[in-house]
Amino acid sequence: MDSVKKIYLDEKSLGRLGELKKVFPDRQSVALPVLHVIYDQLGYLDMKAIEEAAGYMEIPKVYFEEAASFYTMFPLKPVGKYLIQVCHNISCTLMGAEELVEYLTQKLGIKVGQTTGDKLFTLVYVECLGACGGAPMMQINDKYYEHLTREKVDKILADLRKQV
Amino acid sequence: MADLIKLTIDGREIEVEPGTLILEAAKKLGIEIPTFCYDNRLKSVGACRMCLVEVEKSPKLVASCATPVGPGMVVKTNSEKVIVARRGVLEFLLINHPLDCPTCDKGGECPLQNLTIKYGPAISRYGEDKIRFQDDLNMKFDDIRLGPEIWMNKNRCIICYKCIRIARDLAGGTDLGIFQRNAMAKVDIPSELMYINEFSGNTVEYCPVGALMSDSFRYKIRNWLLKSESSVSWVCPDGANITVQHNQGKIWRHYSRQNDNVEMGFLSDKDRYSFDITSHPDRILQPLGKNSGLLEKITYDDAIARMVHRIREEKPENWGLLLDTTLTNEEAYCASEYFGRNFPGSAIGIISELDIGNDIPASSLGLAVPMTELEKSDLFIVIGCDIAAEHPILSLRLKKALKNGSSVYFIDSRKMYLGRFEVNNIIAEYGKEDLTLNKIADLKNGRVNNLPDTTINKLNTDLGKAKNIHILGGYDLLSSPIRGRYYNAVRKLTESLNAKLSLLTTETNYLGIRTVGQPNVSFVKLIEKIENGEIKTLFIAGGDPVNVFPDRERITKALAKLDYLIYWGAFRNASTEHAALIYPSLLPTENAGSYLNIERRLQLLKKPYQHVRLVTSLIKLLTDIKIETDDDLLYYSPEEVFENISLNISEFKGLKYNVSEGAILPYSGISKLSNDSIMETAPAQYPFALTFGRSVYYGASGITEKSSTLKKLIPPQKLVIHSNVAGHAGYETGQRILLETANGEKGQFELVASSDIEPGILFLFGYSQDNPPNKFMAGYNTPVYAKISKV
Amino acid sequence: MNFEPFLLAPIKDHDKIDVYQKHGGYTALRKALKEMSPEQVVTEVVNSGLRGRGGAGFPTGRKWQFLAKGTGKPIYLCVNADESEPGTFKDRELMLLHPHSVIEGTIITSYAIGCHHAFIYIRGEFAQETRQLERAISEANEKGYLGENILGSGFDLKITIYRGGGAYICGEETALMTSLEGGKGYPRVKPPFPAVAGLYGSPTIINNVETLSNVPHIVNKGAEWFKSIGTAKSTGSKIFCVSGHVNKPGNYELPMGVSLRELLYEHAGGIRNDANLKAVIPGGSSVPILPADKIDVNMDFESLAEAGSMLGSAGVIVLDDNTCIVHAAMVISRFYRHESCGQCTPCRQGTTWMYRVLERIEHGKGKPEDLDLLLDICDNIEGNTICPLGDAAVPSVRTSIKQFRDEYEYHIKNKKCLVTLGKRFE
Repeated sequence: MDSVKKIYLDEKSLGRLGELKKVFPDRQSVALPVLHVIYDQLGYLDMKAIEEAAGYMEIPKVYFEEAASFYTMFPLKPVGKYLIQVCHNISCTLMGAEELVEYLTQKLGIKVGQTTGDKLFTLVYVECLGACGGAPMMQINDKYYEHLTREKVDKILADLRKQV
Repeated sequence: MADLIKLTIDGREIEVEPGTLILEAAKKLGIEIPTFCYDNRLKSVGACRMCLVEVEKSPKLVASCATPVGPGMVVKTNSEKVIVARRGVLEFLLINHPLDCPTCDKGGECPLQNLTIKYGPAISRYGEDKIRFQDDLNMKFDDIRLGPEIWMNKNRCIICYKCIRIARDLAGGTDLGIFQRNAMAKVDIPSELMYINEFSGNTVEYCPVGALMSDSFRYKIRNWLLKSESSVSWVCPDGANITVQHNQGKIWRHYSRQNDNVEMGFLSDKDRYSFDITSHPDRILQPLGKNSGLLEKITYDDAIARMVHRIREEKPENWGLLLDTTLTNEEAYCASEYFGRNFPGSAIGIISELDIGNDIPASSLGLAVPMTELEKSDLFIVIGCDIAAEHPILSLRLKKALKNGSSVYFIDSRKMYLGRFEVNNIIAEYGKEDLTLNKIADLKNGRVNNLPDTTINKLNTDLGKAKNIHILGGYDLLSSPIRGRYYNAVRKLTESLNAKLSLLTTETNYLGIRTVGQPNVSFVKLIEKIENGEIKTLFIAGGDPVNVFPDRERITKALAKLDYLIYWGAFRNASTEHAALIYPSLLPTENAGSYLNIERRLQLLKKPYQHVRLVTSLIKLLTDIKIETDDDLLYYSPEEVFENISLNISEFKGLKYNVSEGAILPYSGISKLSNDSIMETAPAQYPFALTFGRSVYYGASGITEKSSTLKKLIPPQKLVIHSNVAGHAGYETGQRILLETANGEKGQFELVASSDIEPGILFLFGYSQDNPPNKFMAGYNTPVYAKISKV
Repeated sequence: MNFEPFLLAPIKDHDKIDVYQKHGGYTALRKALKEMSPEQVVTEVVNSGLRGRGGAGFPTGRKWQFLAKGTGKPIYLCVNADESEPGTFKDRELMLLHPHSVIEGTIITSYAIGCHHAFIYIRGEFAQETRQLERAISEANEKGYLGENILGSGFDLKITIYRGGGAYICGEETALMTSLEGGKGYPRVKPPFPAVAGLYGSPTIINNVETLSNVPHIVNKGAEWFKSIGTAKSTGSKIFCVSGHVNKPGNYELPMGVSLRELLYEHAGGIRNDANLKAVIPGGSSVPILPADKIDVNMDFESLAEAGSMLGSAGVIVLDDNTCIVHAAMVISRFYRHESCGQCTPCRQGTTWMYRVLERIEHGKGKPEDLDLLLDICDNIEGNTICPLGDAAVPSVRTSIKQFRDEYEYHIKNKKCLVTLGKRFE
C-alpha cells in the first residue's frame, strides 16, 4: 500500500520513471514509456519489475501488463545478450530472408525463438523494420544491419563475440 | 431544447433527439438490430460488427451501435448487403469458437447460439485447426480460475468487452484486461492477481457466450430447467431487484431483473450469490422442542401446543419480541400486532447493529431523494460511511456521477475508495469528527481562509461551484460514540451548505420493520429487561441476535438467563443455544411480501415455490397459533396483512399491495438531537480506539456466513495500524500481534501498517469465525479501547 | 527533367544544425513566426495542394481547417513517425539524415494550428532515429527554436518524443492516439474525428513525417512553387521507396506523376540479374498489385487509382518472374495477421483465416475451393472493420488471385510452386 520495495529497478530507471511523471498531460500516458525504461535496464519485461514500476507510478499494473503483451517489440522472457531480429516480410523475403535465417540457424546452432547455450544470441522473426531498401536485413539490439551477405553476417557475429 | 432529427429506417420515418444512436432509434420503431457488444448502460465500442447497417451515401456499412443519427439519414437494416455482412461476422466468430455447447453453461440462454440460428451460416467452411488456449496441458478442460468465484474459458471468448467495461468503467476495478493481439487476444487477469470485486458476478451474466462462468452455477443445472420468479435482494438495504431461478424446490441462481430506478440491472455479488443460503444443508426443516433438556424433532401440532401452553403460563408483560431486519413488512406487522393485542406491556424490539433512537423517526432515515435523483448531484460529502461496502448499488450511482464530473469527498477516521475513481479523503480524528465538520461549515460561511490541508482547500473550491450537494451518512456515523454531537454537526453542515442529507441505515428491511413493526423499546433496552428479569419469555422472529448485538458476551448471557426462548428461523446458530422451541421458517426469497429499501421504496417479493409443509411464513405460524388461542384476527396472505398496514400505519396510508409497487414513502428530514458528552480520552494502558470495517458479511444478521459462495469473497481478517505508529513501535506488515480490549477481550491478528487511517485508531476488517467483530464491541455508541502487543 | 530533390537534399551532415542553417534551415520558421499569422500559414499550405504522405493522401491544409475551434481545450499535433508499412522506408531516411527538417516542419505546423505540445510518435525499433531526433530537438532548443517565446514571437512549443513498441496498427491515427494515451493501440470508431476530439479528448492533428518536412519549403518558396512540381491534383514531390528485385533499391525523391516505368528502369536501375518483371506493388503491401503489363502508369494519387491500385505510401515493391506469387501473398498475409489488434471480429478472425489457407496452399495442401473461399473472406472483411487494417489485408490476396489465378491453380494441383525464388541470399 505505502512504500514499494525497489528490488528490480535500479537508480537510473527510477530516475527516468520520476522524470516521466512530469511529461504528459495525462498520467496514464506513461504506460508504454515505462516499458521502455524496464526494457532498457533488463533487456526483457519482467512481470515483477512491471509490478514495481506500477506501484512507483501509482497506476494499476493491469495497464502495463496489457501493453506488455500487446507490443511485440518487448521479449517477455530473458533473452541473450544480443537479440537478433530478422525481418521476414515481403521485400526482405524477396531478397532471400528465409535463406538468411537458415544460415543464421546453422551458424548459431539454434532454431528461431531459441537462445544459444552461451546466452549470447537469441534469434527471432520480426515484421517490416522500415529498411526495405537494404534487404535482406536484421536488427541486433539497437542497430540495423542491411544489405546482408554471408560474409557480412560472419563478420558481424564475430565482432559481437569479440566485444564480450 | 435542440431540434429533433428526422431519419428513415427501413422505409419508416422517425424523429429522435440528437445524439441518439441509430440502433436505439431503430429500437423505438420496434426494429431489433442484433448485437453482441452493445449495452445501453455501457459505453459503445462497436467491436463485434454485428450491428452493421446500410446507410445511403455511406461507402461502407455503418456500426449502428456506435454512430449517432444524422438528419435525413436513410437506413436499411435488412438489405442484401447487411444480411451478407451479418452472416460473415457470425462465420468469423464461429471459426475459432469451440464446439462446447453440450458442456457449456450458457447453452440455452446464449446470444451466440440464438443469433447464429437467426442470421448465421448453417455449415462451417473452416478447414483449419481452431486456436486453443491451454494454460495447463495436463487439464482436460480449458477452464481457468480468475478468482474465487469467476471461471474463464478463453477459447469461447469473442472479445466483446462487456466484462472489461463492467469491471473497469462501471465498478472502477483494474483486475481484468485483454492481453495479446489479433486472434490470440483474450480476457484475463494480471499476473498473480485475483478477480474479486463487488460486481464481478455481472460479468458472468452479461457475457454473451459461455466464456465467463460462476463457480456456484458451473455445471450444476441446465438453465432451461429453471423457472423464474421476481423478488428483491434480502441481504442488502439497497433493494436490488432480482429474479429467483429455481427448480424442484431449490433456488439455483439469482439473475437481474432490470429496474432502472434501483440497481439498473447490475446486482452486487452479495445480492447475486446469496442464493445458496436457502439450500444450505443446515437448514431447519422440522420444528424442534426441548424434551428433558435436549432439543428434539417434534410434530407441528406439538410445536403449536407448546406455544399455546407457554402463552397460558406466562404473564403478558413478561413477553419480549425481537424482529429481524430481513422480515417482510407483513410478517413484522403481523407479529408486532399479535404481541400488541395479546401481550400488553410486552417489549418489542428490532435486531439491529445500530441504535438509532426514537428521537429520529423512520421517515427521516434512508435516502432523501430517489436514486435516479441522487446521481444528479455534483458534490457528494460521504460522512462516516464505507459506501462501496455498505451500499454497493448506491456507490454505482456515485460512480456514474463521478464520470459526469461530480466530486466525492469522504470524511471518516480512515480513507475510503470507490474502485479506481478519483475521490477525496478528509481523515478526521475519531471521536472528534464534529470538529472537522464544523471547520467545513465555517468554510462556506467564509470564516476561515488559507487552510493548510489541501483537500479542504479543494473542497472549498468545489463548494463554491456546486449547485446540488448531497450529504450521506452511514454506519460509522450512526454508531459513533459522540452520537448527538456528530449528528448535530452533520445537520449544521447540511443547513449551511443548503444540501440534502441522507442517513443510510445498513440492514435489509430496517426502514420497513421500524415503520410497521412499531418497536416500543430499543434492542439494548430489551436486553436490559431480560437481565433484570422483566422479560422471561422471548420470541425471536428470524435472524441471529447474538451475531448482531454489539457486545457478544452480554447478549449470550442474557439469552441464557431467559426462562423460555422461542425461535422462528432457518438455521440453528449462536442464538438458538438455549432455545426451548424452534420453528422452521421460510427465507425471504421463498416468501411473498414487501420490503422498503433505502429509498423507502415499496418493493414486492413473490413466492417461487411451495416449500415443505412444516416450513412456514411467520404469518401462517401466527395464524395457526391464533386459531388455538381464539384470536379471530386471522391472516391467510400477505395482501390481507398489507390492507391493515395501510389502514393503521400512517406512512402507508392509501397504498395498495400490488398497485403501489415502486412507490416511495415520503421523507421527513432530520430533527435536532441533544448534544451528548464528548468521548472520554482513552485510558493510558489502552491507547487506541478500535474501529470495524464492513464486508459482504454484514447487513443481514451475518446470515451471509451461510452462503458458501459469499464466504469466498469475504476478505481474511486483518488489523490495520498507522504506519508511523507501527514504525515507532517496531511492528511490520504481516506480523502477528495480540489485540487486547479494555473490556477484557483478546484476539490474534495479522497486522497491516498503513497511512490510510487516523493514527489514534486500530481498524479491524474482514471476518473469521473465531473473532466475530461484535466479540470486541462494548455496546452501542460506545468506544472500544485497545492495546496491541507482540505475540 | 530538372528536378532537384529538396526533402532528401544531398547535403553532407545535414543533421547538424549549423550545416542545416547554412543551407537555409530555420528561415521558414523565422518567416512564419515574424511575417505570417497562423491563418496565413494554413492558407499557404491549403493553396499548395499538399496531400498527406503517410498513405491516405488527404489534403493536409484542409485537415488543419477541420480543427474544432473554441473548445477551451488544448490543441495537439502528433507526428506519425511509426513507419511500418512494408516496402516503406522514407521517413527513416528523413529522420536519420534530415531530422531538422522534421523538427522545423513540426514547429511551423504547431504554430499554424495553435498547438503548444507536439508529440512525435516514433516506432520503437527506430532507436538510432530516435537519438537523431532527440539531438535535433536539443540543438533546436539551444538556438531558441523551441521552448517559450520562440524567437520573441510569444509562441511556446514543447516536443515530446514517444516511442512505440512494435505495432503497425499504431500508424493508424486513432490507434496512435490510443497508444499515446497509455494503452494498447486500439483504433477508435469515427466519429468523433480526431480534429474534433482526439488525444485526451482534445482537437488533434496527425501528420506524417514526410508531409511535415514539406511545410518549411512551402513557407519559404510559396504555394505556387510547390504546385509547379508534380501534377495538378498531386502537387509537389514524393519520396518513392523502391525495394525488391531492382538493381538500385533505395529512396528516390521525384516529382509526383513520374511514370512507374521511368522510376524502375531509369532511376532504380531496372530488374536485377537480367530477370523479367512479374508484378509491382506500387504503394506498400496494402495496395492492389499491378501486373508487369500495367507499369506505364504515372505515380500520383489519381492515375494509380484509375489503374486499379493506389499510391499509398509509395513503397514500390518489385517482384521478378522468379517469384512464386502464392509465397508472396502468404508472406504479406502473415504480416496482417501478426499486426491485427484483435478488437473487431472480421479483421481479427479473417486475417488469421486467410493466412492459414494461404500457408496451406503454399505447403502443398491446397484445395480447389480455397481460391473462392479466400475471395469470399476478402469480401467479408472489406468495409466491415473499425479501421483500415482489415481493408489493407485484402488487396494483396484479392488481386494476386485475380491476376495470377493460373499460378494458384497450378500450385494447388501440383502441390508446388510454379516458379521459385532460387538462390537470393549471397
